Amino acid sequence: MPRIRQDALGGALGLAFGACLLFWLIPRWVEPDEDLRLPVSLMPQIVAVGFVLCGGAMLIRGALAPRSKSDQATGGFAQGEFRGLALMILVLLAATLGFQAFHFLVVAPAIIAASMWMFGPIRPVGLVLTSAIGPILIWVLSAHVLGRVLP
Amino acid sequence: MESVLAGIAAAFTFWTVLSVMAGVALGIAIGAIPGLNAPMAIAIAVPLTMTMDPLAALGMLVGVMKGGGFGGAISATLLNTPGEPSAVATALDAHPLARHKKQPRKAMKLALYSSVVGDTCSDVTLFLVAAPLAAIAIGMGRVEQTSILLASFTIIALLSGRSLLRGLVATLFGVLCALVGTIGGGLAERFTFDIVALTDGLPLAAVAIGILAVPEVMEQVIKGRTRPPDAPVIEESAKPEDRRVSLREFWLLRWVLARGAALGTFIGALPGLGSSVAAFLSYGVTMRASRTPERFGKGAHEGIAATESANSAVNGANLIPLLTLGIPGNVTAALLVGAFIIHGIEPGPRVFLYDSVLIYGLFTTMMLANLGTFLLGNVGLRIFARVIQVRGQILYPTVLLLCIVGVYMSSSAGLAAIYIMIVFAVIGYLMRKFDYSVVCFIIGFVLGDTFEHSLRGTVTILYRDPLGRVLEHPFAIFMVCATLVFVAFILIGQARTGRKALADASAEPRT
Repeated sequence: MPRIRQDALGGALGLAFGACLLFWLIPRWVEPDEDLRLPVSLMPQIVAVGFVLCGGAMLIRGALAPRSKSDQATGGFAQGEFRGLALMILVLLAATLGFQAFHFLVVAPAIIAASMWMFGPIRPVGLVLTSAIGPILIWVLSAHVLGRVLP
Repeated sequence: MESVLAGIAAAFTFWTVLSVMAGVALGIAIGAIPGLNAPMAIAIAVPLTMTMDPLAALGMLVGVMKGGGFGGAISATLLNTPGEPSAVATALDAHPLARHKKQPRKAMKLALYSSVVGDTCSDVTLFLVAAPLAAIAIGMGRVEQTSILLASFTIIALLSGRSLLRGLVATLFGVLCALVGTIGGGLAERFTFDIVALTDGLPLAAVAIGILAVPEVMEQVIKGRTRPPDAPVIEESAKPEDRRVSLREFWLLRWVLARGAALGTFIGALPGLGSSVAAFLSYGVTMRASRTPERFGKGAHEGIAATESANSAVNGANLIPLLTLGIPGNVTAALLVGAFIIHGIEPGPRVFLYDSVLIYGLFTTMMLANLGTFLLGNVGLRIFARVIQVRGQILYPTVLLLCIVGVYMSSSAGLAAIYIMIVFAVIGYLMRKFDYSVVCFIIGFVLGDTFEHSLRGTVTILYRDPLGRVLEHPFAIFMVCATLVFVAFILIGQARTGRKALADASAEPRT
C-alpha cells in the first residue's frame, strides 16, 4: 500500500480512536476524584483531542495528496509472515498459560524448542541441547544468582 | 567537592566495577550481533538489575550503552553488516580496510580507540555542563517545564521518523499508556478495565521489552534467519604493523577525532537526533575537508575515526538533557529514566540536590566504562569477533526466553505482565511495519506522568487569566515560538524536496 494511502487509513483510524476515547472510553473507564482541583479526565481528554487532530490531518493529507512514482509501497505483509506472527503469538500465549500450571523448567524448553522449530530445520541434537541448557542457565542466573522467583 | 569525592569512592567498589565491566562486555557482544542492539539489551537488563545497588545497576546499564557503541563496529568491519544502526557509516571504510587491504584487526582497533576518545570527550562535556545547567533548570516552574516537554515531544516526533504526524500519534499513544492506573492517591482509576494488575499502571519492563525487543526477535524467527549473514572470507596481512594502530597513525587522526567528538556531543545533546545522524554528518564533513577524498570508501583511516568518534560521543551527551531537564533524547536515555525510577530516583535537575553522590558516582562509572571498553575491546577482540558467528536459531529463542523472564521478574503483576508484553509485542511489530516511531512511543510513555504533572500545574497557574499569566513566563513563550519556527523550517524543506522528487518523476521518459 503506498505510504500516502497508509496515511489516510491511519488517519481515519486515529480519528476514530480519538472519538472513541472522548465519547466512550473516558466516560466509561475514567473515575472521578472530587478531591482533585482539576478533573481526572483532563489529560486523557487532551490526548484524545490530539488523536482527533493528528488523525484528521493525516486523513486529509492522505486523501488529497497526489500520487507520485516516488511514493513507495511499504508496510505490507510478506507471504507467510502473517501466519508466522500468529503462530509466534500462540506460542507465547500457550507458554504463559503453561507457566500457570507447570514449573519454569518444564515450559521454558518447550518455548525454545518451538521457536527453534519455527526458525527452520535443525539437527535434533542441537534442538535438545539448546532447549535444555538455555533454560537451566537462565534458571540458575535468576533463582540462585539474582535470588528472584521464576514462574 | 565532598559529593564528588564521595561519588568517586562509591563507584570504586568491587561490585560496582564488576557490574560496569559486565555491562561493557554484554554491550559489545550484543552490539556486535546484527539484529540485536544496545537498547534491546538495556530493556532486558533493567529488570535484572532491580535488586542491585542503584549505582551498580546504573553503571551496568551505562556499560551496556557504551559497549554497544563499539560492538556495532565489529560486524560492520567483518561482515559489512552493522550490528548497530550507528555503525552503518563505519562499514563504509572499515570493511574495505579489513577485506581489501587485509587489515581487519587494524580496522577494529581504529574503531575501538576512536569510540573511546569520542565517548570520553562527551563524558567530560557532560561533567562540566550538567551541574550548571541543572542549577538553571531547578529554577524553572511548571509552565516552563510544560513548554520544554511539548518542544521535546514535537522535535523528537519530527526528527525520529519520516513523518511528524506519525511521530506525534506514536507519542500520544505512549502518553495514553502512561495514564493507565490510578491517580489522586490511588482513589481514581483510569483505563484499568477492572483488571487488578493494571491498577499500578502498565509495567515499564513489559512495555519496553514488548515493544523494543520482542518484535525484533519475532521478525527474525518468522523470517527464519538460520545462519549469520554470509561472512566474506577475510585474510589478514602477516605484517605486524598491519595488525595494530601505531601512535603516529593515531596522532595523525587527532583533528578528525576532535571534530567527530564535537559533532557527536552537539548532536547527542539535542533530543531526537541519534548516533546515526552524528556518524554520517562527521563522515561527510571529514571527507569534504580532506585533501584526498577519493580515498574514502576504500579503507581510509579518517573515515573510521570520524564515524566512530561521533557515534560514540552521542552516548554521554544524551545524558545532558536527561540529567538537567529529566528529558530523554532517545530510547536508551528513556530506558535509563525507567531504571532511575525503578530504583526510587527521580531523574532531572533535582537529583543534583538530593542525590549528588549518586550522580558523581554515575559520572565515575561512565569513565570506568570507557576504560572497560578500551581494555575488554583490546583483550577480547577475537572472542567478540566469534560472537557474531552464533547461529540465530540458537540466539533468538534464548533472547525470547530472557525477555519473558525479565518481564516476570520486574513486576508485581506476575504472569499478567507477560500478557501485557505480548500485547505490546504485537503493537510494536505493527508500528515497525507501518513506520510509526517506537522511540516516540517509549519517550511518551516514560514522560507521560511527568508531562501530566507539569500540565496540571500549568493549567492551575494559567486558569484565571491565561493571557496575562502566560506573559509572566517569557521562556515558555520563547520555547513554543522556537519550536513552531523549527518545525516550519523542517516541513518547508521536506515539502520542497517532495515537490522536486515529484517533478523529477514526472519528467522521466515513459517506457
